[in-house]
Amino acid sequence: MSDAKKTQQVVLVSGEGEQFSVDRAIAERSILLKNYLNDMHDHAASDSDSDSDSESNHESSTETITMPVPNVRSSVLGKIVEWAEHHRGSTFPDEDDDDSRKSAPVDAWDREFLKVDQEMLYEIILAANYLNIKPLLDAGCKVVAEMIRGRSPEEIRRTFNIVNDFTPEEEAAIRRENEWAEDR
Amino acid sequence: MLTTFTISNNKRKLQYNNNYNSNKKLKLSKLNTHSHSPSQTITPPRTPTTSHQIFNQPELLNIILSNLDSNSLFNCLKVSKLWYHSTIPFIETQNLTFKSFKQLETFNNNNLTKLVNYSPKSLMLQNIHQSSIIPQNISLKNLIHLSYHNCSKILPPIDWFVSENLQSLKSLTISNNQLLDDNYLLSISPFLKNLKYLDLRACYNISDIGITSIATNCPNLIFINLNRKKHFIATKKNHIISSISLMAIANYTNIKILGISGSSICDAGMFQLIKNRGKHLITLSINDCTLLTNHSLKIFSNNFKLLPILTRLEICRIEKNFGNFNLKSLQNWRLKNHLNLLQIKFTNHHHLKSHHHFL
Repeated sequence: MSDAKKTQQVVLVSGEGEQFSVDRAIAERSILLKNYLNDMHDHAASDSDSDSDSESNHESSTETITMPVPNVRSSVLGKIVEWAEHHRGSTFPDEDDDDSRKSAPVDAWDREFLKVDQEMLYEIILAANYLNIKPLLDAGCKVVAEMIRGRSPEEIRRTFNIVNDFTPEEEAAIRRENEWAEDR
Repeated sequence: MLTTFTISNNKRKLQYNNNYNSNKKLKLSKLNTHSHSPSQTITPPRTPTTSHQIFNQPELLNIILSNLDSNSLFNCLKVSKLWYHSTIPFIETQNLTFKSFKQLETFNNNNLTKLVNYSPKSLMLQNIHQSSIIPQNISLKNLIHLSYHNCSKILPPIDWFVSENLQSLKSLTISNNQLLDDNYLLSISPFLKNLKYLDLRACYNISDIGITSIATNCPNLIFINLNRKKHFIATKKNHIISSISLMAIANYTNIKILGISGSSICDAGMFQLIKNRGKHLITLSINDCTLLTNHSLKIFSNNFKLLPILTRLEICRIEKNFGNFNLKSLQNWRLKNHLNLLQIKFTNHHHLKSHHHFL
């Protein structure tokens, strides 16, 4: 990506209509936005100036692009932008390498960043999933996994407000099936 | 954009419900062939309830669950139907460890309905001293690590190896076992092409015959542990591990870490090992190998370059055979060449400590 493209401004518009102006490089932490920006704008630009020189290309890069993100609330989008700004220069473990992604501990800054109320944490995970921001999605899911670790099924239900929809027979079957693992 | 997202989301939910239905059918049909109690199946979850929607999206739940250890997974199984169905694939592929006869017996008895299709990467049995028990209903197609540690009277069935289910096996441990003999090793070794780690410590009914078969069939071996206690073997003249084994290991494998303590190897075997594999040896354990003499030591002291990366050498109870080994010049040479210092384990632990400092 040329420097001009990196600093090209992208305006993200939250569900409430609030605008967040960021460098294109920041917006492209989201693979969804990155693909969209590459496919739509760059192709459109190269189509229009197919017979002209690179100067006009440069000009098109300085245009501001508006991107609505209607299913992400302002407070969540703000957090996402904050995360992406912090990780401007970060490199993350290979996305295709599941093992190294799973074994990596949550980055210290991310851990502080994710010390928010449960509702906000879930919203960030949802938004990271939708926007396809793998490192943030992984960090969020790891934090949730830590809330599960060492807790009984009943405690897990209470923590996440989950209703036990098993019949007593089903519960008994599951218990029997996994009895061998109980006394380890 | 909002609409596309909702639509794709709905589509996902739809697919996901379909999956459940087919799953249910699968499990039900399975149950019918094995048992007459259909109540044992877990019916699919109803529409999501009060919890946050991240817990209703299988793809997100999967990422969360993928970060959990097996004890936590067993708790997740019991949370709700959705969690049960999401957790099962993780349970099925987790490592299986059985630490007692009772635990394995319970597993075998309760796993008859095959609601869960275990296909672990690692299967470990520990400290089971009863005879004739075999882990049942486990698929071995993904098995990489198989360990019967300190289970004196049971062995993995030879069928497991012969049926070519265990082709990807990288690590095999059978330790402190009374049944393991040369015939067993001869039967399984042709099927262990990819084996890298082999631990047969404290098995006193194996000899050069079995070890040679292993060495010639398993070219990828980098770790072999044949350590045994000297006094156990003294009366069993027929089950000797000698330089014949050592030469086969030296000639045919990729050995880097070798424990052959308590064996009847001699200097000739050591020459061959160091000639062929010296440049790659990292650890060598030759405690109680009383047939070794000062000649073996000359290799260490005359040409340090023969064992450049050796970092651990265990020579308990035979150091007196090694007389006047000039450790100091060896360590100085290593320092000069920016190599790791050699740790030597002697008989006496006080010595060990003091030598570590001096070394």
